[in-house]
Amino acid sequence: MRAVAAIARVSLQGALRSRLVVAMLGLLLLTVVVLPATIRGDGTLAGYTQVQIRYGLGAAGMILTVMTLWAAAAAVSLDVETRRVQTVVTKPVGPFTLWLGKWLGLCVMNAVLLAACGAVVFAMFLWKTREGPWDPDEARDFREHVRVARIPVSPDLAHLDRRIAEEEEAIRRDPEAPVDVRDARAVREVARQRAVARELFVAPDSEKSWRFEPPRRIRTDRPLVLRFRLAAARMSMEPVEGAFRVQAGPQTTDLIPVAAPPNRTTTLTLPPLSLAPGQPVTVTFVNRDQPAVFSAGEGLRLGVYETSFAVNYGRALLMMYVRLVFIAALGVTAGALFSFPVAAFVTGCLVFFVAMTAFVRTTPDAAHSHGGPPPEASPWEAFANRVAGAIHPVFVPLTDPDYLEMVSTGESVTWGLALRSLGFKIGVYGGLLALGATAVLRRRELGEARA
Amino acid sequence: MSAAAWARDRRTLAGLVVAAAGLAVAHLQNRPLVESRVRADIFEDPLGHTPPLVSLTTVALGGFRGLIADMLWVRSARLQEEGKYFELVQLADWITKLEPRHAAVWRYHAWNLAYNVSVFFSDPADRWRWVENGIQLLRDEGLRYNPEDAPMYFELAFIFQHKLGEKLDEAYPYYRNRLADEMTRLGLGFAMDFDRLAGDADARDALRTRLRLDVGRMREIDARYGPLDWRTPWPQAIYWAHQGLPLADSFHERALNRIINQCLMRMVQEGTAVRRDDGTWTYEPNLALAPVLVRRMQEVAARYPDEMPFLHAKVGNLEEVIALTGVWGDWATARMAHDALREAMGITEEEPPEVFAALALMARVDDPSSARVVTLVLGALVQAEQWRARAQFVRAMRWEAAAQAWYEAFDARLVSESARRRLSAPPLDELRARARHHVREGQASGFPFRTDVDLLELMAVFAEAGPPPSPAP
Repeated sequence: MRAVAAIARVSLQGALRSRLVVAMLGLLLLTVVVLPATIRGDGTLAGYTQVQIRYGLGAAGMILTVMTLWAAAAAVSLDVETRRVQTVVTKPVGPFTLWLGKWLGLCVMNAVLLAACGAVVFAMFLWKTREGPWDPDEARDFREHVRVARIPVSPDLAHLDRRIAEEEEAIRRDPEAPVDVRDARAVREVARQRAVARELFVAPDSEKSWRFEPPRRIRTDRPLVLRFRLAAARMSMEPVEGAFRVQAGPQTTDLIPVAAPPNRTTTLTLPPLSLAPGQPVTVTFVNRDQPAVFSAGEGLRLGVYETSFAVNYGRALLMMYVRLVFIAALGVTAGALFSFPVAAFVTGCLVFFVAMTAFVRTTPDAAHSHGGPPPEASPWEAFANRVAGAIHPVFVPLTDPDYLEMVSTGESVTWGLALRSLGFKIGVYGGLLALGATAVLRRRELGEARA
Repeated sequence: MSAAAWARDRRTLAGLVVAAAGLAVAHLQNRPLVESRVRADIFEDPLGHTPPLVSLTTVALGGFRGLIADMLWVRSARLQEEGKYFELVQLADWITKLEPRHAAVWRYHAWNLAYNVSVFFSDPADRWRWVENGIQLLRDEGLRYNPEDAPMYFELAFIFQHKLGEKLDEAYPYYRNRLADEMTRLGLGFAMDFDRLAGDADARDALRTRLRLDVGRMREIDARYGPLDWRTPWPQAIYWAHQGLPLADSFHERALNRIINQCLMRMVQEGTAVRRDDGTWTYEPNLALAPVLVRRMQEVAARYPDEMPFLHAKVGNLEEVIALTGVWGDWATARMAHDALREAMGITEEEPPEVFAALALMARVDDPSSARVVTLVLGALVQAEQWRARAQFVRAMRWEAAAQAWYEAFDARLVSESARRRLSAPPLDELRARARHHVREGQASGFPFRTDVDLLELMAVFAEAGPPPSPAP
């Protein structure tokens, strides 16, 4: 353990000796202090919060990524290149200890820097969103709906698969089907869209109910909220009028009238309900107006209070930290395999691939969704899609939801999400990288004289 | 020296030679590059007249700022597509700061915020925030970095003229109310005393800081195109259009002139702001601008003698002036406009303007557009009051009935809820009270009343003779 600590200390010192890392530290300081001063937001508290947290932490995360990537790629490779590694490997220190020490040094560096950045951004957030300067109603809404952490619960659509299958059948029988019926994936996608649309459509003067299953552990002292967004075909100031009724076991609320602006997310605080653990909630929308359709995706969600904003913010920082230490593991491993510039390049490329595969995979689907015949893919595009499709499953566990957006909109970054990220990035992929690097370092001749 | 050391030094030397050669080539390329940038009018002086942050980003980021701007632009487009608007103002701010001398970027983002994003909000206050953000982006910052970009003046003037001045956006009454409130707070109003304003340092500074309006230029605009009511949107449209004129190419010169003409016409129809008891504002004609509009039409048509759009605008606006001033009884201006119209059309015969006014009015009461309905109805009610004051009760009743008929005809056209919210005229009783106010307040809107002309009688004669002939010669 002492050996690991000693190597970690040397790794940290080595990182801080790098001119690029020092320059990045300066940039980090500038970003964290100057960037919030340039933020003007859209004039609302919610808008300011989104921009400040997303870009304040986002920019810090980007700089830390570059720093980590550089320092990690250099950690082993430069030691090998300058033969400093010989002073370590000639001692009773195994390759795994070497890798672990190098990685832990970078973990400490990231922990300190990220904690400092997170604290500065949070302090600025608290200062800017303090009560004084804002409209009291807006401040109250902000406290209730944004400065919290709620778990969004989507309606239970278990029966959707049957509906999708029916829609698929209908599309295949349709001589004027909007897609090539031989393309099973396209047919499935159109069928899914139609089924979801039907599920979320409420005809005038009618009602529709959805069942929600909140998490078993739920804070009963905080009200549930309903977030919904109604789609409208035209831009109008005219709200869609209707009412919600909520039922949980024997308790049923009165009709809660709403006049919801179309194409905007509306948040409705529901009357108090005492929910037993695991008790489902049924929400009914009574449409008294024009045809209404809840937007797919985020169109109808029940928000269940989970924890405070500060805890949620901390979990977002944890997610960010896990990402950085995974990049550190990747860089240290690459440094064990290659010389410094190659290691830095390979690590950079892998980080880029992780970010881009989802984009490459979804781009053809996005083109499909605009209707018309599917675009003819060039041979290069077809090849890139195949490659992206093949490696996508490998990278999926490494991709995170947009946790900065979640925390800045009052959505909970759950412990489950954070632990999943931790488990995959450090437990599984970090472990594999450590094993690979150990195997390579064991076989690699680290003491060879320079040519 | 060992062979290895010599080999190392040789490599270093070779590197230095290559670097020096590269530097020399770059030096040779520098002058033509600078010249071509000057020719293309993209020469930048990032350190001049810019705040430190912009200087820092433009200099420190170098060529990378284009890349960052592209990334932010892509993000902005994606967020807009997903209906996530919170970040758009911020992104527009950063993108424009990264490319501060790229005027089209400012224009695009201002337009996007004021027009494309604002309409996604149903609350008028939310909409106004986006429109205001668009205005501020151009007026407070874009023009600061691009003070010689005439299209930017056009865009800014257009937002005032079209977004606030026209009745296309359902939330336009809210925009106008907010603007009028702010202008009132800043001490602006109708037929302003600019000497007093110029002497009040606080008011002058407030105008300069809040609205970027210079009192000297306002005085110049008011003297040339006024008397203006600065609580309405159109004077600001004219102010910015007028600033752009000396910088404009031939295309934008016409566009800016067109904005000024259209604003003048709209102000004749509804260019006076009147505060109601509930704090909201209503708009009445500013007939003092009718002679200004007539002169302006003559000037502009003379400037562009062979251009049909300007000739058509002149004819249309003069006809409108004759009808509106006729119904209000301002026969001096009606005659002036009629003379200008005859001259434009090459009519040499002497014709009484009253006949033409009756014909023009007949054509307009059949189509009482939202812009002119208040002027027509209020004018008819003023006529009724004037006749009543002269104990001509039958004539007064006829005018009163005409006002009601025109009002109802217009109201009946507003079939959809949206049109009703957007275009409805103030209640008829409110207009009656305003008409009484106009007559009671002496000659505030009244003109030497002619008892020898009754346009309604003339219109009745023409109506009996058959369908009204086109008023256009």
